[in-house]
Amino acid sequence: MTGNIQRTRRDHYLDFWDVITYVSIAIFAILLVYPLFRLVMASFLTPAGTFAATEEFSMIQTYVEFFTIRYYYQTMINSFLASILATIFAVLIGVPVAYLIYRIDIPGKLLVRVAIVLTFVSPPFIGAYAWVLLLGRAGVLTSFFANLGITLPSIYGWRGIVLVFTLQAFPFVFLLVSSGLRSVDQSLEDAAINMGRSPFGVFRTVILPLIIPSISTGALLVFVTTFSDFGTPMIIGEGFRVLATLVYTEFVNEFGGNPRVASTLAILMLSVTVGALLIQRYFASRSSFGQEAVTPLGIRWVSTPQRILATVVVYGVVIAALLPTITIVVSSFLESRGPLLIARFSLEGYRSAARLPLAFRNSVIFVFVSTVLCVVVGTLMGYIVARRKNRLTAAIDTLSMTPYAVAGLVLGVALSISFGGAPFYLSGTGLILIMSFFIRRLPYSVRSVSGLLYQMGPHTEEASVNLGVPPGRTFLRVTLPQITPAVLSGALLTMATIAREFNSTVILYSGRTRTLPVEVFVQVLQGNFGAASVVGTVLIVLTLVPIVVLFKVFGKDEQALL
Amino acid sequence: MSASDTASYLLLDHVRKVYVGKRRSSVVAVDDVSLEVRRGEFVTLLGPSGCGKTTTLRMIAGFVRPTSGRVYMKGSDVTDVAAHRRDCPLVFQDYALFPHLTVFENIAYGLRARRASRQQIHHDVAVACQMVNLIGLEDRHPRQLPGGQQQRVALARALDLKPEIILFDEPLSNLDAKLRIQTRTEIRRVQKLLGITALYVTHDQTEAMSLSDRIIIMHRGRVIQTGTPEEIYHRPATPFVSDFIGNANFLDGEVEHVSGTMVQVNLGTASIRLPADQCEPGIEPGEDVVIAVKPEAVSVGPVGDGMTGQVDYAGFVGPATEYRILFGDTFLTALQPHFHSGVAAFAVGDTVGLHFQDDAIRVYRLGA
Repeated sequence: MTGNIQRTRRDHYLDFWDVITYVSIAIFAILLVYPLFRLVMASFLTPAGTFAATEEFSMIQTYVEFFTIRYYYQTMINSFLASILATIFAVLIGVPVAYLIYRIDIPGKLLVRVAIVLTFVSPPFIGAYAWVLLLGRAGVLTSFFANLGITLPSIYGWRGIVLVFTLQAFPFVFLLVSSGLRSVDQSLEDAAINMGRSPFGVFRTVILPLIIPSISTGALLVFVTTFSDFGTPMIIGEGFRVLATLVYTEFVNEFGGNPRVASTLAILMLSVTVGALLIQRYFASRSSFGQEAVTPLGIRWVSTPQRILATVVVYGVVIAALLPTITIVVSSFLESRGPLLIARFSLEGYRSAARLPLAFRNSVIFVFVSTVLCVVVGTLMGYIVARRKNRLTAAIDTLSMTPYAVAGLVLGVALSISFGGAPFYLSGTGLILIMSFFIRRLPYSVRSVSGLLYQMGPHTEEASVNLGVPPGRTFLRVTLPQITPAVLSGALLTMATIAREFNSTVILYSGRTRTLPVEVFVQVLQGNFGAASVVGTVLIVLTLVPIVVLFKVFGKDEQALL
Repeated sequence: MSASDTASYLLLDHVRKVYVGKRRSSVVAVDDVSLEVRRGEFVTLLGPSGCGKTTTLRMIAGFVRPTSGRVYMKGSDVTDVAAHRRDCPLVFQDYALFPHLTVFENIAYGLRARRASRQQIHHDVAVACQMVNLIGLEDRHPRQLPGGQQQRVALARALDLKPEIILFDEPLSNLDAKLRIQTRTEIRRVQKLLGITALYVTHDQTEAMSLSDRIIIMHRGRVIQTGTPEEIYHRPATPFVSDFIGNANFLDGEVEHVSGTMVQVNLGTASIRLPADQCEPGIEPGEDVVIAVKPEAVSVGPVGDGMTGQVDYAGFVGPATEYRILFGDTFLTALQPHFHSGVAAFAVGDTVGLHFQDDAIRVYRLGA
């Protein structure tokens, strides 16, 4: 009786998207899970280089050493001190500046945006080096004030680190608070005023509680990036050693041998950053209200003296944040003799920068290859996460979150342990650098595509399939065109981020594969400040190119940098 | 009207608001509006979107500063008083509940701003919750409540300040039709019970009619007509009001002659006689006029010795049948209730007799 029902063609064969799913899992397994596993294992090595516990050494010998030997554990205390202070100051600066810029009609907001962008495009340690030029022993400002008989406080040590960390990281707080303010509806402020609150009362009882999640996210980013940053403490820390510098020096000491200390330190650093992330997420989930503004907060009218005061505050911060970049660019056009810069215009630096072409070429190649990989793989992964829901893609979604929590330094050490030696011997190759850039940046591509697809909803794709276009062609003809602008703008951002990437590169590079940020760092450590400024300026310009295209062509603003 | 008139609880005196845009272009949002609300009165500002009613309300609440003119409350000039010192709680269109605070804290917000004592706050919030039926929901957050309850939290928050004046900015527009009717009855009940002076803004004429003691119609920033709901409905001052309050039919005509209390208007295909008090005053023979007649005042019947038309469309709309009738060279809409005696049904193409309810016709000068 069912004889007249024809069997239709079975459509469930191993299709393209299944292949992508398995490839994605493999990518994370190879580039993330395996290296982290190797890192954990290496941290349990005994000084003898074995895993077998002996009478002399237990497997957690290195951890015990860390917490009992002052030379080691002091770095942890110092790291917490510097990062927590920087986080507090970044919040204290970032929140008011964001609020003032958002609410008060301050002239020249463009300059503020430029400053924010520049702090994002410069490699993290460049601020430290610039402040040495300004406030170091032979610094411009130091000499200037010394001639007036004023001794400025030293830039070296923890004070300098906190200053540089704060100025380099407060844009995180600024950007997150600005975007948090956009989701506060004007009617909430109106209601609070209407109920009888004064302007400050409104800020305290309504606006501040509503932007707490943004502030805490910004604070987390400040803490995590400064905690794992080692360029700045390396340049101006002098006696003040932090965990990140210890990871680097131990890694270099142990290179080619038993990596137990470096890997243990990396695991400890990973624990702190992951711990901070979890605490912040718990906290944010309790204080988040998922509100959306129909009419966002508008400009507030204030009296002229108040407006002038706000302008002065904002410009003070902006100038401090801009000063390092200006210093680098200006000093690149000065004559130099070792660490001394002479106030005379010269292009000699650019003419004689011997290693600049190699570093430039390397940077361009790595940035280009990594970006293409990120965009292609990230788009496909973002699609399966959003549209092909099953247990494997859910796992991909979770895995794609992980690299956020893994600092560049930690990933560098892990990749080096895993692939540096036998049987891969990738140490110092371009390939291992590209691997690290790719896996570090991939989560952003995945997230931005999957987020966009969720937001779009499946209806246009369903309509296409409903009209008879098979899923594969639907992806190409309906899905892809809709997400292309977002994918391209994401690619530009990826370019800029990779161009300035430093913390993992410095672990993985070799003479042949040095990039622009590494070259700046090496020149600074060698005391060639003139050459460092020249390379630094080239790097800033290179990083600025994709950002300018992003702003001009895609009409984005600094919020896109998050 | 004067500021010292104690009966005017809320008074706007020649208020104007001009927004200056870029390149010196400017928009007049509110143009010379004067209005008064008497103590305990419920007055509605009614008009289409963009007519300036919300700007007017926001000037009263103090969020917008008038370009010129004065605002008085309870006899004193509040034009220069800061918004947070005005004591005229506003119920917002989107409720503007504080998402980070519980229902209790939302309602207590204004009292806390006034540094009320703990007992006072607990007592007053309990009373307010009782009044709008929110008992048991005090610990919830706004997003955990359905729209209707959020609405009541917003109302309770405003009432908790024991206001003498309360403002409403389209508070029902986000509710579904049934809840809207329920809530507006509720608002009216509470307002009368507490004797609060209320100014209500809406674009919904039914809402305005059912709530208000008086309605103020605004259009393009100006007050067009002020009156009780009955006056507004039966004697709309302009074609705009006619149309806004229940979609009028408009027909062109010419005044044939005016004799004492009656006016004869020629509609081209027919001629009608009607009392002069339904026409704009001072109308003269030969003038071009437009007559407005509401669909519910057009009755459709068998062809008699009066006007005729042809049924172009007949649709069932629940309590009535809606006809579109070709009358001369224009279309008329007629709304025919089912349950009146002697109502016959007509089909498309039928020729029918038409009758306009005399007292429902208004005659306006062309261009009025």
